[in-house]
Formats: sequence, structure tokens, C-alpha cells
Amino acid sequence: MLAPDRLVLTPTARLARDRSRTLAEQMSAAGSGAWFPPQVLSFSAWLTALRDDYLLSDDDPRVPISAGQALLIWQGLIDREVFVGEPRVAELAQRAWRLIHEHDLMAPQDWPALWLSEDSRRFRDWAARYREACSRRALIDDWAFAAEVPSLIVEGRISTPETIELDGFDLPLTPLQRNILDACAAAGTRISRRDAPPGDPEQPIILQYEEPDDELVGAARWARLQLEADPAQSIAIVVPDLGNRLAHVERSFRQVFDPPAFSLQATGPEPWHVSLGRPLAEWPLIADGLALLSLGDQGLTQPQATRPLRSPFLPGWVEEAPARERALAQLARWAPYELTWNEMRHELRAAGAGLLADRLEDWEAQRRAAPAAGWPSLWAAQFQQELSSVGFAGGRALDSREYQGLQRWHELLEAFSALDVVTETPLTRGQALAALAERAAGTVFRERNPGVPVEILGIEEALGSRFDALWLTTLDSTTWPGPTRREPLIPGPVQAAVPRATSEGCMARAEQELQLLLRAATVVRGSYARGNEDDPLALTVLLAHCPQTPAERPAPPEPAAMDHVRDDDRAPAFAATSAGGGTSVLRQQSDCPFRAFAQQRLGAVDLQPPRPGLDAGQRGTLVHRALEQFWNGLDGRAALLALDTEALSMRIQNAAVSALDRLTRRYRLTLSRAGRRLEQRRTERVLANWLAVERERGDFTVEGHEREITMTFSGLTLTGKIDRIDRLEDGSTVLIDYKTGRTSRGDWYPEPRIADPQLPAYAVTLRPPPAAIAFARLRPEDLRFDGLARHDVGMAGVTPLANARHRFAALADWNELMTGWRTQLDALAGDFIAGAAAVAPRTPAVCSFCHLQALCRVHERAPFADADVEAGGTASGDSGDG
Amino acid sequence: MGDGDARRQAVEPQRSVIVQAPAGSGKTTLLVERYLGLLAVVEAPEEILAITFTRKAAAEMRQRILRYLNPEVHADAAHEQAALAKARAVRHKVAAWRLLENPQRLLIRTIDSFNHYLARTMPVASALGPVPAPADNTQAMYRLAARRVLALVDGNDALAADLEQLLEWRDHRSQDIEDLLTGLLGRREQWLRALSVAEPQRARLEAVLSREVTGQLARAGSVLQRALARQGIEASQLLSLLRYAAGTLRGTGSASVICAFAEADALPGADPQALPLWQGLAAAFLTNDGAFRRRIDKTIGFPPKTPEKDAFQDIIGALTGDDALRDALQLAGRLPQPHYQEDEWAVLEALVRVLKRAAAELSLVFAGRGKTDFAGLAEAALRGLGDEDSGYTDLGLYLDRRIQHILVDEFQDTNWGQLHLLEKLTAGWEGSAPGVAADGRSLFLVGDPMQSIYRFREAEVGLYIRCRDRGVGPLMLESKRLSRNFRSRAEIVRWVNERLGPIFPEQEDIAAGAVAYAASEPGRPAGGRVQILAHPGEAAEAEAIAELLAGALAAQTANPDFKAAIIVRARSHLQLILPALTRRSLAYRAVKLDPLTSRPAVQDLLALTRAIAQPADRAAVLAVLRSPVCGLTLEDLWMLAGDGRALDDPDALARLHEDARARALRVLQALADVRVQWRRRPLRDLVEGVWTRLGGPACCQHPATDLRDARLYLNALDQAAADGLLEDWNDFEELLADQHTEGDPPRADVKIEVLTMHGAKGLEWDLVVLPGLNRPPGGNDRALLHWLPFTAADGREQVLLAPLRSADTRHDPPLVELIRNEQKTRSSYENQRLLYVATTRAKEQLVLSACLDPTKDEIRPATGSLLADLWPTTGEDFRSALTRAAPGVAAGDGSAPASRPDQTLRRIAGSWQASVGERLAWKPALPPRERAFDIEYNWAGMQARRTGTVLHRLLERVGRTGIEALADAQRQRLIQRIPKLLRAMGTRSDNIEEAGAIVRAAFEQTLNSSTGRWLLSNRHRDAACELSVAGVVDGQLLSAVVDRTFVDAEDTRWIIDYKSGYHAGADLQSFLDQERERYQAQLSGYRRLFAQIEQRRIRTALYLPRHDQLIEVG
Ligand code: SF4
Repeated sequence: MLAPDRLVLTPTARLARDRSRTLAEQMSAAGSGAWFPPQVLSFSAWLTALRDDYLLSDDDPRVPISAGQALLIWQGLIDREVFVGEPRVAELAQRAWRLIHEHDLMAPQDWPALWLSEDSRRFRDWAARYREACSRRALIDDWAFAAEVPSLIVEGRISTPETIELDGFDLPLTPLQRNILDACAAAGTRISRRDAPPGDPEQPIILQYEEPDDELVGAARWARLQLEADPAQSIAIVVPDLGNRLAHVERSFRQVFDPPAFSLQATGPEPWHVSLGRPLAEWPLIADGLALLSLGDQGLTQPQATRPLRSPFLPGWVEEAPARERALAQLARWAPYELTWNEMRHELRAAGAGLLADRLEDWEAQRRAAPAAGWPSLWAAQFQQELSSVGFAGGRALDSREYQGLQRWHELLEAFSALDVVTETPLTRGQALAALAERAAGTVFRERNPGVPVEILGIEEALGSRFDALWLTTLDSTTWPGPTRREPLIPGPVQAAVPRATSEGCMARAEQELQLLLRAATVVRGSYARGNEDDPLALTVLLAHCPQTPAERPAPPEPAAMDHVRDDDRAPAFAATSAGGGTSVLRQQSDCPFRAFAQQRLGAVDLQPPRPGLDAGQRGTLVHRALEQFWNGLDGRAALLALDTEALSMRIQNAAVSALDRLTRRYRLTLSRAGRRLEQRRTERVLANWLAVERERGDFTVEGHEREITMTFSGLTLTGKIDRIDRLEDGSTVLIDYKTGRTSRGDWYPEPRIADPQLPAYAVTLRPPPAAIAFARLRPEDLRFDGLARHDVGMAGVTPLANARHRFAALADWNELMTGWRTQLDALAGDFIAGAAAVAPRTPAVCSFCHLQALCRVHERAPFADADVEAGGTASGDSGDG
Repeated sequence: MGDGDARRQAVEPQRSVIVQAPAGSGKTTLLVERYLGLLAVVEAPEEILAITFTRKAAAEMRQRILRYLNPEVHADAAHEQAALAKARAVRHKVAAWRLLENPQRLLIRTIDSFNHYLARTMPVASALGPVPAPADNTQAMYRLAARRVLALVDGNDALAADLEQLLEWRDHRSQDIEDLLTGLLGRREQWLRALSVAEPQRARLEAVLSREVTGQLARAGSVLQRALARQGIEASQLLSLLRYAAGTLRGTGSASVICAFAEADALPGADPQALPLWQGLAAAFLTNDGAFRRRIDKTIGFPPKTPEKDAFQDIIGALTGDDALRDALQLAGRLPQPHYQEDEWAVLEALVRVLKRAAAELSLVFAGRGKTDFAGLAEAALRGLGDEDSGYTDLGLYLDRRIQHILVDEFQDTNWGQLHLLEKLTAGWEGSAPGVAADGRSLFLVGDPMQSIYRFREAEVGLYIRCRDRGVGPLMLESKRLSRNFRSRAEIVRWVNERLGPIFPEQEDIAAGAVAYAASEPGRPAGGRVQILAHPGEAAEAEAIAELLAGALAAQTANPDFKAAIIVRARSHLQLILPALTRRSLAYRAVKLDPLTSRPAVQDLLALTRAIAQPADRAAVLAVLRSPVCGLTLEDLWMLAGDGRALDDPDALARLHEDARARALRVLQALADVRVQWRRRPLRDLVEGVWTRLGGPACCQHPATDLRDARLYLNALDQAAADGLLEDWNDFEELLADQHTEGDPPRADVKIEVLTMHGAKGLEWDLVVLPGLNRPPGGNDRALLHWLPFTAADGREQVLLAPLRSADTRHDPPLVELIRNEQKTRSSYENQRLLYVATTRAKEQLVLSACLDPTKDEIRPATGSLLADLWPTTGEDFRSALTRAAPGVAAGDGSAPASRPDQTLRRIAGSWQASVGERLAWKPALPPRERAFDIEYNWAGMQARRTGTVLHRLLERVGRTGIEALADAQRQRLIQRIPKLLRAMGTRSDNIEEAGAIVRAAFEQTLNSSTGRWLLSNRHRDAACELSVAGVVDGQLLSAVVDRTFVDAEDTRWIIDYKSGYHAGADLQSFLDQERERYQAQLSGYRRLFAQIEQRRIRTALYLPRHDQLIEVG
């Protein structure tokens, strides 16, 4: 009563699974509760089974190796010096090796020299080395074994099944398959075929789409309609370049079959399935695993930190995610590009993500236990332990796909450790990880098909099946027939019989496939997209006789009714009487009232992440602090002049050292060793050159650095720090602001939108008022003072107002300037307090350095709508029909 | 030769020709005709290679060829008959090739695509390995390579010292250097070439420099001599005056450069030694701004009221107005000494090493990611084709067919890489006579040097001239020129000839890219119109242009095919014109003009992306709350987020007005829902999903355009995710910065197109408007390395190199200035060509427009503007147009008054409800039973699993025949195979012995034990090993493989599962109990399957061979 020994062979694994499932459904529908299913195998799975049997039953000393193992051997014998870096030539060689066996082509050693190109000559040598390596190590790969199967059958060393049913072999068998089946038949196996039912192909209607995306959506809509009409149908959507369009396919089908899920609401099982998978390395779970493994133990960059901190697969993600995000935001604002692990953990704990911090600590310990080099099996164990220590896969509960992915990951590690057999020297961590990642990238995985009615298939997977309805996409003339694909490593004459290698072969194959696909269902449709202006596409001439119609353009979404809140430019008044950030409130209010509101009152800060090295701001601060340090304890010009060369340079050096120390105190990796050296030297250089400028001045004493100042404008109290106050011989004072950016005193002109209100604000507040305000411009190519003075203060570049040119010339005297400042600054503060928050950049340039463009919506605001008298319309870039 | 003869000869297949085809001369027709003619002489279409400049051109050419080849097509137009006849002649061949069915056989490609094709065809010879299509966005990889190189400063690498030197030179602005390096890597084709022309050896470079300086001085010297002669001024008189001035200045202790004349005994000549004298001369004659001096005073050595002063004043007075002299003096005064400063040289050497290393590093980055860019492909293709020394590659070994005929379109915009490729492809083609290639092969180059406008993409128009005069490699070409313009009406052709002709240089200069003008003759009847507009301000200009277009459109309502274009040099020139069009309700179509991020819809999506990917980004979440899909007012926003409140603060939410609360909640809920799918779906899908759910698409102001832009953005997001750019937001922003809107979809009722001059190339319109001709070009970009390739007088290629100036200096040193000036000259030549391209787009009417300031004494266009080029021939027209437009107007700067943007908050109506469709309910009919039997992964058990598997297989083997049939020899042989089996599982040789011993012990123990022998006996009925069984259990499909089963003498069905587990310590029993517990469910599943098949007692058990224990389960 036990199962009859039936063997059914299919060309593809998909078809084998499909057959088994169909059979199960039939049995179950027929009322069977359980049964002994026949063996349904893809041809290659059958070969593997034969191989395993042979291994057990024969004394052949050779051990079979997997494609992955074979790849490692190929990789070992490619002449690396020929190539830039390590391109994937071994894969190419392996592909050629396979083609030679699959199509029973002339063996490389027999290729006539006349046919050899540089590429094929190299390959011939590699193939020889490969054969030699395999035989020396008593190994045999799948393809070499398969090629031997016919003779092993003849010799009786492989026993053949009683019967073989060929199912779905619609396309011609490959020479290798033919040879094997012929040998089986000779050995007494009864071979039968289940062929595609004959019949005339359908004349499909061909729909033309504007965009390839629309085409997929159209196919999905159609499938849904079909299914709604008859839920029992089997429907196939054939997408020839499925591999490149996976994401589009999934998106389109989700959008059509499950709109709530598409818009992120709850979801359920999907009635569609894509036959082709993605590389394991692209599955988020595995990508995160690999990323974790590749983190260095010295420290990490901020972009790297996003991986562990944003991975939902690490423990505590559900509870701690907001804290981890806060940590990242903090880092982006304050920390340098690179951090030590200690600093990282510290930030995490500070933000309330202690769980992850603890895990990372465990991970580090495990990480440090890693050996310098080892066999793949050892690395597999080490990697697994590291991941366990950080709690990998222990975060958010895994869903079914993730769970399956995790299993594949384990299988991958296991396969990786099997590389022991073909590895000749222990691997370093880097090598091991690279090899693992390479395999993860080369292994394709798709979750199981639970028996869905709608399948999205590539051409190869679609052939051999029957469906109730079928939609053939991408019927353009560049896909049917496709471009010829000659194997570059094999001489042309050798591969002349391989269909895809010649244009005639491609053509014949395309015709065959189309005929078969058109007969694969009772209802058939076709479609293609017309391409773009650069690459217009036409329907393949092979189907030119079919009726074509333009597909309905997807209707644009129903425009929503819109509200218009007029002049929403005022926020509630500012209730407090003081604001932080010094005079930057005024500056922002002047630059753009909206920006002041958003940053000061909504906390919409900029999270632009840092880059390696110091940015201009940090460098400015550094010089600034070094100068502060330099003057600290030094009276003024007299004291400066009194320093001898050595003392001066000593002082400069110390000042730079201490400024740099301060900069790197919090984050050790702010500067690299060389970076620090260079920065020290350049700070010293700027200081030395700058002090030469200071020596040229009239006498002064430095009265204070970083002097706090409290200001009030229109009732708004601000506190600031004055970089430096100098007292001159006549007792008057000069306010100095160190600047490394491009600024000029023109920015002080007292107008409603004063560009740089800082020194003016200090000037009108300080009692007694200063005699001058000045930028100390610290750009190495342009070291000088730039300022305005009530009278000559003996500083080159600090011009008495009376001599000032351009707009300042119009001012009567210093008092008018001061009053002007007071008025304008009061007005700015008044606006801020009143909640004035109009989107009104002082100049368009202000916007280019502003991170709030999305929030303020400056791009959709028509600049001429209310100010320009002659204006009426909008100024957006559209065709003006709106 | 007449136009007709030139055309006829140009398409003869046996001639190798280079054809100059000016605007409107029907170049594409010529190419197609040539191609069709070639089909007659080849054995397969793959023997003909056609290279076009753009994909669009390739597609167009292919389409036209296929159209002529289609037997059903008839064309009546006269100019199509020749092509049609040629097509008819090859119809039988075409049918045999099945060319119409398989148009891919037409090898018509862009140079990039052909390079890709070659590199892919020869992965080894090109040294690139398998290459996917060139990456669209390589910026991040350039940056990575730059960073890697810069990081070397901190190690033992030989480059560390070079980097340190370079960084020091640039004031340790490492981020800036990184940017500059990144930028240079994108243009590495150019400088790598420059560096390969001259290995930077100081003596050689200085010799080049010295020759260059001498040459320029010699030219200046002769200009000076001629100028003096013309005015009858004695050189000696001038000399003595200058000596006098030098003397006076010395007396005052002045450091003026004029002092150099103190000991001079002659006016300076070509010897670079005399450079100080030239500087003195320039200082004496010219002001700092480079104008002739008006005031002669003691600052230049001529105290007032001296006869010398008067004499010198006279001389200057006589020379003033001699612009050639002025320019020559200015130039000579600024020429560099013909040697590098020590530090300059040291930095240059270091820089060159750094750059080369960066290029090498980039190759590694590319190789590591399996990517490359166009330059990388071009390099690889060239490598693959071999070279003169090691021999050229025989392409016949790689391709189906040897390429016998090559056609290249737009040859004026070729670059060195492309020329080298051609040289290699045609190596050995040279025939017996110029214009005839060997063995019936042919080369056909067509282009128009006057339309070469791609300098920024490394195009060198000089190469066209070079190939015309000297051939490609040793293959000499016949030169043909077409002269008929079939596009523009006669008046326009005449105007262009008259006004642009004279401004082109008279002398061709290969290195500088100076090409001579070739006049066209009208091919269409008389008529057409050229109009010059000038306005005092941009607002007025915009109005006038809009008015003009409105008028033209109104006049052409009867003509459905009428099309007009506004063509500008840069997008910013349209700022006022587009609104002016909109105000008049003139619909227009803008193509690829705007940065993608300038679109509100894209900004919304960007904010949403940030809010999803970086939930702590307050600015982003607030932006979503403010965007049209939500539209909180400033007050709402403040109530929600003011005073540092968390954005999901429930109290704050509660305080909002009901409407605002509902709006905010919709957004916050959607953002919360996203978290569930975080890292389950691509980020793009999350963004699009939320955007759709919140009504983003429904809020678009201009759906047709906005949705296209949105799609572009989402695709870029997908791309960025695939390339791993989202980890560093800077990388993603950099990618976005490169994206442009596609523009509006084409529509029949939109008559006006707006585009850039580069975008307009190859196209035509009835009416063409060129506004803003007065606008100067954008700012100069900085580069770390200045390089200037040029052809020396001896015809050899040379290059000048200099590093970016030190950060401590404000002005470029003379050497850099020399290079930059030369480059300016080159780009001004290109400006002329740009004008030619722009003006020749017009069929019926051409309008040139500029803004001029009427208040200036001398109305002059800005330097670098296109108007400046046009000024000598057309300045008068513009001036009078200005008087017409603005009689007596005293204009301001003409720009619109700064104004406050509209402050309206546009938002979705509060009542809006998303109309989300319904899910198609479905569940699998027979869901597979999952996981029920999945055992938790146990890493440490790997070795155990391997031994277990081997044991399984051995037992299966024995079970199949029954232990009774197992002869001793067989048994031994199986045991001997254990190591092989373990090795096949991936076990290392040093572990095999240990593992083998375990397997062997367990195997033998089983075979020897009574339980084992009973299990494996062949006396049972209905026995099987590894039996597949399937069925429905609890409504789920269960598929199982049973290790061993049989029916014993008592008619009981036994189902046995082998487990290779082993317990070493004490308390074996509890281990066995655990195992029983663990596999309970699995075996019960098996039992239920069998129970549905047969009606007998079923017993299920585990067998543990390593313990020889049979444990009954269930
Ligand atoms: S982008 Fe411009 S308009 Fe918007 S807030 Fe910033 S500065 Fe103001």
C-alpha cells in the first residue's frame, strides 16, 4: 500500500513545488485526508539526489562540492593582477563552466588557438587550473558530476528509476538533460512526457502604457477584477525583467490588492506571490546582521551608528526606539563624525537607551574575543555568538517573512562553514566577512508560496504551467527578442549552438517562448510601455498582428477640496521676557521672521549630520578660543610687544594646545592624530599672523574676553557674550568680534532687516557705549580689522563713521547710527515678541542655507502675490492652467 | 563643391569622410542615407556601428532607418527619395536578416552605451570584470574614494606626507579639500589625461612654461612695436622716459615695479628675463583696473610740471584707445616667471600623487561594489581594445562580426577618449589613398564645429579640426561641407551669416578650440524675421517678451503646428519671464529646468521621509504638520510644539481646537503606523504609503507635473536606499541636489517650450526667443589642480599644471592666472558657438533680447555675456532698440522690488476623507503547516547535525535492503565511506576523525543491537525509509518525510524518527524525557497522517542510535 515509486521531473523548482501543491489540493478536494505523494523534483534537484546516492554507494573518492564551494576555488585561481580590485570574475568563469557542461560544448583544452581572445585564453588557463585543483583535492562540482552521469549510468554505478515523467519541459531539453535521459532510457527507465496541450495560441489584446509602472498597476487591477469575478482562477502575470522590477511589482500589487495595507494600515495574507526572490543581503534582517558584524571595534562613524540604533531586530527596540532616535539627533547636532564605543554608549544611556548600551557592551566583549584568523567554521561560530550577544533578532517580534529570513541566515552560516573544505589558509575577519557578505548577496530568497491564485513570474518560471488567465507584460521590441548574450569567456564558434549566443538563436527562442506563453492560458492579455522621450519603445514585431489599444491612463487622484487660511503669518505672542541663544534671535528675526519663530519657539533645529574633519564653525571657535587663551593674563599691546620671539611663540603654542584640548575633550575622535597636528600648526599660524596685525594698532589693553552682557529690546531680555573688549588710551572701548567667515561691516547698516545685529546690539547696550565696533577677520588670506568707529581709534580697517563710504555716508553722526540701531533692534525684538512669523527671507540667499524650506513652504509661495502691483497670477513652474 | 555634390559623395559607402553639417543642413537624413547605403555592402548589420551623442538621437536614427526599411512605407517628400531608394535596394537582405523583427541588430549606440557593450564583451581584457550598466549616481562613491585617500594622512602610507603638505597648503581645510577631490574625481578623465601627457617633471614643465611665456612676450613685444611705430614714437624716447621715472621713484624710496627700468637699456622683448620690465611698463601705462592712465603723476615717477611728465602724457594720450596694446601690456605684466616657486612645485608634486591615488582608490571602490561610471567604462573599453605596443585586440574574436563601417554623429563634441576609441577601432584600416580605407571599410564622421558646446563635458572641438586635417590615426579622411540650411528662412540665415560670421575667429586654433565660421546658404524661400529687443530692466524685458509671445500665438491660431521656444543660458534667467507668461495665461512647458527639491510636492515628500526615517527630527515632523495634508496654523503649531513640548504630548493635543486636533492626529497616527512596517517595506513604500493616506496626491496644485516630480523623488529615494546612501543624510542630499524635474508632460495645446541652450540643440521652432543675453555666466568654480592642455607650435601636445593657490594668499599667482585666462579665452570661443546654436533654432522668427542700463555713459554688455560677443556686429541694433523701448527712461536696476511672499496657508479641507479602497479578502485554501516542526536554531549543534545526517543516510541505506541483506563486506564499505560523507557535509579534515568515530560507533552499535536490528529488519510488512507522506491536519497541509516505518507482526504500524542527540552526563532518563516532550507534536502529526490512510494501530517512536534507545512517543 505504500507509495508507488513515481518520479516526476520538472525544469524548474517552482514548477516542482507547484505540481506538488496542485496535487495536494486535488487530493484534498477529492476527499483524501492523507496520501503518499509522488516524488516531484526539478531536474537539478534530481541530479543532487543522484549525486548523494552515488556518494554513499560508490567508492569514487571524490567528494561533491556545492556551487558556493566551487566558487571559492575559482576565486583562488583567477589571476588577480589582471584586474582592478576584485571584480566578480570568478562568477563569470563559473557561469562559463556551467554553460560548457550544460550545453555539452567543446572542452576548453580542445579550443583551437585561432579562436582564442584574451578573455577565452585566460579562461582556458583557469579552467585547466580548476580541473587540476579539483582532482588534486578529490573534489567534484555539480556540473562536472552531471556531465559524468550518463557514463556512470552506462557503467551501472548509478541506478536509474523505473519511470520518469517529464512535466513542463516545453522548451527543448538542454544537451546535458538529453544525454542523461537518453542514458536512463538505455538503462531501462520508462520515460513519459506531459506536454503542453496543443491548440492555437490566443490572439491577445495588447495594451499600450505610458509608463512601465502604470503597466504593472494595470496588470494588477486586471488580475484583481478577474479574481473578483471568479475566485477559483489561477492567474499569471509574466514580467520578463522581473529581477529588476521586484520592488515595483510588490508595490503595485499591494497597492491594488490591499490599499489599506499600502497606506500602512492592518494587513492580511496576500493573494499574490512573486516567484523571484531578492538576495539575502537585501533583506533588512540580514542586512542589519551583516552591518553589525562589520562594525569596527575601535569606534564607529555616525552613519554606521544608525544601523544598530535603528534596527528593529535588536532587543528593546519597541520600548527604546524614541530614545535611540533622540541619541542620534543629539549626535548629529553635537558630536563629530567618528565616535568611540564608549562615547556611543554614553550618549545612549544619556538619552535613555540603556538597554542597547548594555547590549553593545556585551557585544564588544564578544567582539574582542574574536581571533585574528580562522577557518570559516570558526568565523561562523564567532559571528553567531557576536550576534547572540547583542541579542540580534530579539527585538520586534518577527513576522513570518522575517522568520523565514532568519532561517535562511542560519543556513547561510552553515553553508559558509562548509567552506572549510575548500579553504586553504585561515581567513582574517575581514576576509571572512567579505566572503559571507558575498554569499548573502548571491543567495536569492523568497518566502514560500502558500498557494495563491495570482502569481507574478519571469518567463522561465511561467513556461510549463497552465493558467486560467495570463497577462504578458513588457512586450516591446527590445525584450522580444532580447539582446544576444554571448558568454565572453567562451570563443564564439564554440557556443554557436547555444540559443542565446546568436541573434538567430535569440530570435528563435523568443518566438518559441511567445508561442508557448500565449497557449499557457485560455485568457491572454499583453502589454508594453512606450518608454520615454529618450528611449521610445514599440511593440515587438513578433506580435505585430495583434490588436493594440492604448490603456486607460490612470486617473489622477480626485483633487481634494482645499482651505485657504489667509495671512497665516502671526503666532501667539511670546509670553516670556527672555530668550536664549544671545542675539541670534534678532538675527533670525531679521533674516526671516518665520525662521526665528520655528527655531526659537518650535525647536525646529537643524539635524544636518557632521562630516569627517572640522567644519568652518568649529575651526572658527578654535581660533577664537585660542585667542582668548592667548590674551588671558596678558594686558594689552604693551604686554604683547614685550614678549620676545620665543615667549610669544610659546604662548601661541600653548594657547593653541589648550583650545584643541578643549575641542577634543568631549569626543576623542574629533580629530585624527595628523589632523590635530595640522590644526595645531594652522592655529598657531593664524595667531601669529593675527598678532602681527594687533601690534600695528595704537595702544590698547584687553579688558575682557567672553564678557557676559544682558540686553533688553522692546522688553525682551537677551544675554550674550562679547568676544572681546579693548580699552584704548583715551579710555574709550572697542568691541571686537572674531570672525572667520565672510562678513563685512556693511552688514551693520541700520535698516529694518539688519544683516548682522550682534555687535550693534552690544554697542547700544554697553554703558558707556563703545567708541568702535570691529570684526577681527581671521581668514588667513585676509587678516584685518573691519569696523566702524565714532572717531579714529588707531586701528587700520576700523573707519571713523565720518569717513565711511557707501550707505553709511548718509548718516549724520555716530549718534544717529546708534539711534538707528536701537530703533531697528527694538523693532525686530518687538516683532519677535508679537509673534510675527512671516515667511520673508531677507534675501533669497538666506534660504539656501536654511533647513526649514519644507516647513515654511517658501517654494509654493508666490513672490508677487501681494506686493507687486501689476501682479495677479502665480509664479509656479507649471503650464499656467491651474 | 556644391552642396548637392557634397551630399551625394558623403553617403557613398566606399568613401571615408568627415562632413561639416551646419545647422539645418539635414544631418540626420544624411546619416540615415549613409547607413542604408552601407547595408547594401555588408554581410550582416552588425558590421556597421553608428555612434550618436544622445540616446534620443540613437532612437531617432533607428526609427528612421526602420521606417524606410518597412516595405509598406511610402514617402513623397523629395528629400526622402534617396534614402527610400537605398532602402528598397536592400529589402531582400533585410528580410533575410529579419531585421525588422529584431531591430536590436542595428548597432546604433551612444558612445557610453558602446563602451559598456565593449567592456561587457571583454571582461578580462578590459580588466573590469562583469560590469553592470554605469551607475546613475556616482557622487557618493567619488566622495568615499576622496575620504579614503584623505584618511591616509593618519598612517604609515607613503602618501601621508603628501597629504599633510597639501592640507597645510590649504590651511587644513580638510572638508573643502574633500569636496574638491570629490569634484575632481568626477572629471578625472580630463586631468588623468593631462597628467599622462606630461609626467610632471619640473624641468619639462618649466620648459613648456618658458616657451609659453616667451611666446606671449614676443607677441606683446610686436604689438608694442607696431603701436609705437604707428604713432611715430621712438622706442628710445619711451625708454629714457621710463628710466627717468624709475630714477625718480627710486629717489623717493618707492618699491614700484617701474623701478626695474633704472638699469634697462632697451624696451623689453621676448626673453622672460625681461618680465620685470614688462611689469614696469604695464604699471606705467595702465591703472590697476587695466585702463590707460589718464593722470600721470609722481606715483609713477613723473612729478608735476616736468617736461618728462608732459612727454609721457603725450605718449599715453597717443596710445589710449589702442585696445590691442592695452590687452597685450596687461597680459605681459601679469605673466609668470617661467619657473615654479619652491613651495608651489612641492605642493604640485604632492597633489599629483594624491590625485592619482584618489583615482586608483576610486577604481577600488567601484570594483568593491561592482559599479562604475562612464569614465570608468570608457577607460575599460580602451584598455580592452589594446594598444600599439601590445597589439590591438581583434574584435572579431569577441563579437559576432567584425565592425567594418563606423558612423559618428555630432563629432564636434567628441573628446579624447572617444577619439582614441575610434583610433583603436580603425587600427589597420588605412588604405591606399586619403579617404579610402582598406578592404572596403569606411569611417564617416559628421558634425558641425560651430555647434560644439559641451566643453564642460570634456568635448574638444579642436579634435574635429584635427581629424579633418590629419585623419584618425593613420586613416586620412575626405572633408566635405554642406552649406544649405533647410530649416531657417532666408532672412534668418542671412542675419546669422552677417552678424555671427564676423565674430568667429578668423584663425582656427586646435588647442584653444577656435573654429572659423562657415556661411550657410538658405535652402528655403525668402522671408523670416529677426528682431532685436533691449530694455532697461528685467521686468520690462519679461513683459515685452510675454507680450510678443501672446501676439505671435494670437496670430497663429490658425496654424496648429506652430511652436515657439524661449531659450536661455541658465534657468535663473527665467525668473521674471515665467510669471509674466502666467499672468497672460500663456501655457508653457518647461523641460528639465528646475532642481527637483524646489518643488513643493517634493519638499513635502522629503519632510515625510525625514519624519519617517529620523523620527526625532522635529523640523521634519512639524513640516508634515504644516504641509497641505494637515495644515496646522502657526498658532496650532505653537500650541502643539511650543516651549519644547514633545510632538505627541497628549495634553498639548488635547488643548488644540477640535479641527486642528483631528488634523494633527491623522498625521501622528500615520507616523505611528509606519513604525510597524519599519524595515519591513522599502522606505520608499512607507513614504508613498503615508503620503497617499494623508491625501498628498490629492493636494497637489498641478497634479500632472507634481505627480511626475513625486515619482522622480520616490525613485531617487529608492535608488539611494539601494546604494546605502540613507545612512548619511548628506549623501542623500547630495544625490537629490543632482536631480532635476522632468518638466511638464508634452501637450498638443501647449505651444511654448522653455529650455536651455544645451537642451535646445538639435531642435527647431517657428519662433525662438533668446532673452537675457546680457547676463554674465555663473561663478567660476575652484579646482585643486589647474591644468591647461594645448598644442605647442611643434604640433605636440603639452600641458601646463599648477596647484590651487595657497590658502594664505588672496590672489592667484601669475601662473594660475595665465592658465585661467587661457581657459577664459576658450570658453569665450564656446560662447560664440552657443550663440550660433541658439540663433539657428529658429525657422521663421528669431528674437534676441537683452537688458541694458541707459543711464551709463557708455552702454556696454557685461564681460562673459553672450551679448558681449554679439556687440561688435549688433551693438548698434541693441542700442537703438533700447532707445525705442525706453526713450528717456532713467531706469533703476530693473529688478522687481523685494516683496513679501504670499502668506496664505493652503491646506486640505477639514472634512476630507481618504478614500482608501478595499482589501481583496483571501486566505489560502490549504495553507502549509509552518514552523510546527521547526526546531530552534542551535548553532553549537552544527557538528552534531552533520554526524546526524550521515548517520541517517547510513541507516536509510541499510533499511532499504534490510539488515539481513547487509553483508559484512558491504557493512565495512559503508563504514569506510563515513569520512567522505562527513567531508561532503563540509567538515574540515582535522575534525573528520573525531566526528567519524562518533558516527561509526553509533552505526555499529545500532547494527549490533537488537533494537537496531529489529528496526532495520526486512521481515516487516509495508516497510519504507525516508517515506514522503502528505495530508491535511487541522486544515493545514502537512508534508513530512518519515525516517522509518513498517508494520510489525502484531499488525501495528510503527513510525520511527531517528534522532542523533546525545547526552553525556548522568540522568539519561530526564534527557530522554525531554526528547520525547520535544518531538511529541512532530510525531503526533505523522500519526494523524497515517491514521487517515490506514486502519490499524499506530505506534510512534524516536530512535536514538547514539544511545541505542527507542522511546515511544505519544
Ligand atoms: S527657507 Fe527661507 S523662507 Fe523658509 S524659513 Fe528659511 S529663510 Fe525663511
